Amino acid sequence: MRVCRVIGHVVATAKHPAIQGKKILVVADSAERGDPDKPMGLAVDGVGAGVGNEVLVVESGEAGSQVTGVDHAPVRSVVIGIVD
Amino acid sequence: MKLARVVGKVVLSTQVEAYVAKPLHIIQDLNEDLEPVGDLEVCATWQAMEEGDLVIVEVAREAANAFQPPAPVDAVILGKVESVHIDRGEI
Repeated sequence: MRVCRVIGHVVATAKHPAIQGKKILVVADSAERGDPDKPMGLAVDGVGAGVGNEVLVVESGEAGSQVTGVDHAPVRSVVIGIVD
Repeated sequence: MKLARVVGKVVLSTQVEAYVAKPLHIIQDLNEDLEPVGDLEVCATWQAMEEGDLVIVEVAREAANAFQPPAPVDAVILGKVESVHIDRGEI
């Protein structure tokens, strides 16, 4: 699990059914932010997070299934909480 | 999960049964400025994409679940991105 900041989102109309209707956030941890050598990280929003929020990102298939509501979802990057 | 651009495709002449009729794309990772970063990778896709498309990619064992029945793949395109919105003021 990583603490990341939400720095944006992507708009995608054609999505796999498992993530249809889900918001896809651009997230970066403190080491990744602004580093030109790091790929842009994405995560499915499970909590209604927005730009500027510090969030907890989980990389697990179990989290992906819970947030999408799909058994065996093809997703493992998920925002599961907003850090207070 | 990450953002990448489709830069090509791979066509197999011989493959295991699970890969028959499954498009394979070559992707390039992009950084926050949408510049290329890292090495090229090959991934499966739930729907055929075109060269130049921005895509959402999951690289993990869960990629197998994009197909029914689950396929022996470790990277999959899950969506086609129309636009990317980055808020620099919040970084």
